[in-house]
Amino acid sequence: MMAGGDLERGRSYCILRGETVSGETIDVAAIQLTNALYSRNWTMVNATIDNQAFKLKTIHPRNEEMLRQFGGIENLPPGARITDLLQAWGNIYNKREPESSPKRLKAMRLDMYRWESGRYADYDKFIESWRKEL
Amino acid sequence: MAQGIVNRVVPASPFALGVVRFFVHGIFLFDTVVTSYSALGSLPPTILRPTGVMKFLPWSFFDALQTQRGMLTLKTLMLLSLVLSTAGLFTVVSTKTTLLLVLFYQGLLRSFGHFNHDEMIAIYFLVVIAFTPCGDAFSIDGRLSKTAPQRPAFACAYPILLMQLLLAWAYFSSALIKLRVAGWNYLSADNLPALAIFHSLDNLHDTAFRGAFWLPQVREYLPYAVGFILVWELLFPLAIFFRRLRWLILGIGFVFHVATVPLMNIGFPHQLLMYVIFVNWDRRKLFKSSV
Repeated sequence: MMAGGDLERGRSYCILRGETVSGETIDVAAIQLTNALYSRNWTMVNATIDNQAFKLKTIHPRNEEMLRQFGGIENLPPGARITDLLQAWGNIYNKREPESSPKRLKAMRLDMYRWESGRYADYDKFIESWRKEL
Repeated sequence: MAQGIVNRVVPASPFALGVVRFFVHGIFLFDTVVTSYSALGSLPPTILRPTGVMKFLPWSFFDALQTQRGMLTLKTLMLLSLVLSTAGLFTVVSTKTTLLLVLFYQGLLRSFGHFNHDEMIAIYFLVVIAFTPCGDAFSIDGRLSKTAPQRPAFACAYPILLMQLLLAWAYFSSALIKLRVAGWNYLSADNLPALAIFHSLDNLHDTAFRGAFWLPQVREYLPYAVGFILVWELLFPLAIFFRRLRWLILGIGFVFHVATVPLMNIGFPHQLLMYVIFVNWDRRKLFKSSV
């Protein structure tokens, strides 16, 4: 908390959810999927939404290819690689569930909300969602 | 005179330094055992943003690392090195290989996420320990050695003092940075609630406590609480030189770091565990042998 908080500044945040084969939508805690990224799962998601991996001096060849397809970083949608992350998280989750479990996921979702701020209320204005069929 | 101060405030035995090595390396060993490296290896390398010297590694290296096989190799190497360095076997070499491997691993984590400072002090301790005679006692090397090496007392005392100074500097500089970045606004009534609520809205943090939403009800008292912590950080260096104050300062630190979990969903377990550097292991050993 080096800079401290500012009530007037709006902030966006994400909820990770899974859609089970039995039709339920459940919240999935990221730390239970990738515990190595302790204290960093939320910043990894923020960086991925911000396409920061595309803003490096030397970028991954597959990201270079994607940039070529979109015709430059300015045409890249937010979270261009979020679906890859959701696929990875979904696979990790399903690996831990038995084949017959109704809790297995058929899709993984990242829902973004915004706390417009200015007051201590209205924390969850929906912004957008990314979804990946598993 | 400086030598006198060092001897007065820090333990100076190879035993004390050996215990610190065991503890610091043991924490990273525990981390490595309980962490799922295979899950980490499942993450796509295309979301990596290599930081620092990690930028010099080719993408083909990260492609090979971010696989089950790559992560199994990394975990095996880390476990082997950490077991040796924690137990104090081949200490001169194993403390250095552990340092390199942990640095690399932490660099990889920071290439996925942000620069989290929780483990930083423990990493600095690894650096200091790697270049000290920390295997002379409380180690397998020490047991196997037929003759105890003769070293001046400062060989063990100064590294411990340096680690205490590093921990104190982490807090002191943190207070300075807060004042430099936010100025007196840092003491505003909405500073803590706004930040704490933001960290409690998602489900991507390590915990999902909702204590932050209670803070606006007591917002008029919060500038005093935040100001108290700021003063505590500035005074933290006193813990090195005044034994009576030490336990009060460390006690406040314990309460502070534990409280950030239910209020902000942010913990500092590694930093908190590094308080072990303030335990006078020489005295504890003397006490134990006299009982």
